[in-house]
Amino acid sequence: MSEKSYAAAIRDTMAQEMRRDAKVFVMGEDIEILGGIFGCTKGLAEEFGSERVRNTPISESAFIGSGLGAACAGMRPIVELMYMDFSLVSMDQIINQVAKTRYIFGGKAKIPLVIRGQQGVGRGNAATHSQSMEAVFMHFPGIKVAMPSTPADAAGLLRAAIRDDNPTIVIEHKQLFVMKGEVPDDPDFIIPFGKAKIVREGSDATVIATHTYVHKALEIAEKLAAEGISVEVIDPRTLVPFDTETVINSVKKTGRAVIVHEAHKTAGIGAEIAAQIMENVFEYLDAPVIRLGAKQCPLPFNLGLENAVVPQPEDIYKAVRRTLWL
Amino acid sequence: MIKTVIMPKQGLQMTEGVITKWFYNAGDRVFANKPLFQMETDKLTIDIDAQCDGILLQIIRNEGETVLITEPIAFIGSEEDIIQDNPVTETVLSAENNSLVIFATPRAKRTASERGINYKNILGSGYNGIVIERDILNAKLADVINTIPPEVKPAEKPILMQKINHTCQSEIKSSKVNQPKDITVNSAQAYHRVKADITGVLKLTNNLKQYGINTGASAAAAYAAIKTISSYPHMNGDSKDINLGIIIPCADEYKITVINNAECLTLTTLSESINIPDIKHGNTVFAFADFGKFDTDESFIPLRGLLCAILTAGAVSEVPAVSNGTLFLRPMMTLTLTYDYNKINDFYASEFLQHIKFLIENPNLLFI
Repeated sequence: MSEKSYAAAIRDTMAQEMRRDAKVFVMGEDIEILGGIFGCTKGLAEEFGSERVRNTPISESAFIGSGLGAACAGMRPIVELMYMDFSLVSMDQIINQVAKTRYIFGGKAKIPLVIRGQQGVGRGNAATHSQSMEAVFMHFPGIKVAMPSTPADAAGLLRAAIRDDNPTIVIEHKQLFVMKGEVPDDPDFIIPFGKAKIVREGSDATVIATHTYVHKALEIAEKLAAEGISVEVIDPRTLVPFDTETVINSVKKTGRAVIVHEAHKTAGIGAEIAAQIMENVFEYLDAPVIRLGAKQCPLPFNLGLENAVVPQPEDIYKAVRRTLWL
Repeated sequence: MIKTVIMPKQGLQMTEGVITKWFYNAGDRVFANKPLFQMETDKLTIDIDAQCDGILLQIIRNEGETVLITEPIAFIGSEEDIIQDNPVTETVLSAENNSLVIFATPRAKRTASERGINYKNILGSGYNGIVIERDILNAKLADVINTIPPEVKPAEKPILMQKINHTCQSEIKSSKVNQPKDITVNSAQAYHRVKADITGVLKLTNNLKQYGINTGASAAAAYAAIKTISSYPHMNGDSKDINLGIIIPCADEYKITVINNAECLTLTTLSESINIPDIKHGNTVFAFADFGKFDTDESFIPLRGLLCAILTAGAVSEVPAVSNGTLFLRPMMTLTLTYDYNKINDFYASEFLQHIKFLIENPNLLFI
């Protein structure tokens, strides 16, 4: 174990995988000299050269398409999107090509492509650089989706993604890059996709949270524990595949669920998870499932307004108490 | 039986009232039509009388408290209802309130059925009084436990009865006699059977459906029976209050749920109560069974407990008839009346059944 930041965990994992397998290479905007705007590729160009750490033009559609082609041809590319919002300009490549090529070729074409990048609020990056994209990728079949919330998860999930023969999207969060945590040194440390993590055990209510909200939910769980309310916090870690079993087992136990994410509440992943809970364990519910997500408006530039749009810890606190009819 | 005392509505504009004085303490004997408590609204101060004699079991809203109208404020019951180990819980209170629709969360219903508790007798602590799991877990009061039905054991020897003659096709069968404690033994039962033309009823229910009102021929039969009982009070033990039993068939027995004061129900609410019965126990002398849904008309249900009579609505079959020289089909419903011939004269029972048949065949009369 060594303590490192979320960004360093990502960088070290990519470096280890590039050392292990010559077919692994990275490409993206400003990654070679600058090392990416968040430093996730810092030092990689020195070690592996500009052939394997490739700068691309500002043309996401083109370099995601190149990544797909390289993956089809036997390479294991890691494509960095500077902002996940930019996936929108390459959506035809991602949804129509990357997600469907394996299927269209009857499974014969392996697509070991990793698309990774950060999303979310916290830096006042305004409406087109602060969005959360996970619901889109969860909706269309064909791509695996991970959302690591800690340095260790970032390392374990990214390694699982690189070694997977299917296309994967690893969505990071811009506020988490500086977060420090213990990461296993084992060069084969993998967190399998489809295994949710029970971050905190509890018996009265289940909070299902992603990214930064895992930590906010833990903070609130602590506060509620002081009031005698025992909250279970679950981080699904991957949305595709989604670990329904862990979620429904928890709700069976607690009878109450709150789902919190930064993405817009409307048609967000919370709606999907809530529906799965109701379809599976309706008779165990003691209160309606509550979703928390960003309000239905573009994300503001002003940091104060940004906070007013996305859920706050206090909202989680109130929601959990509401499920307990308090 | 425990009665709930509620905050009464005194005037059109009243939404809440303040309890200013309780004239009795919990445990005291109270008397019908004697002041029980004093309350005030923004317009008046008034003494409110108790509605029944009994023991003031529990005061749940104290002097000085502001209470919304219809919310329970106390319970009155008999000596037997006095709660032995009464931990003062803030949420679990028992109520016998027929007019209130009680909602419960799925989890609460699940836990209640696991524990054999009738959640309808519990006051919920969720939003708008919804019963939540916590309320079920905290339920300790005696009356909640009382809702578990008393065990009914069949007597060892069936008693055979004599045959009686009747102009109407009637059959008499021996019955197994149930002899539960404190319940009259039914020694003899007979039954009459008629077929009623339900063309008019079907037309009526189809018409009502256009207005979103769902009812059916069986509910109309029950409704007709309730209307008829006023002219044939013996069928209901000479009581004005019709506590209509609803037979719920089980594996080899049957259960009875009771709709209190069924004479006050409309056809729609009666239809709902029959189709989605709440398991509610109580004393009943007249019961109704809907066997039409099982497509059977040879249904003979033995009388049990205090029951004097059971009306069974059976299957509907189409019977050919000739009118004005043309052949057509009439939907006919079988109605079977099982009754205790020690208590009810066979002519009386036959007339009662004929009257029900008449009402069903002329359903407009149901609404007079």
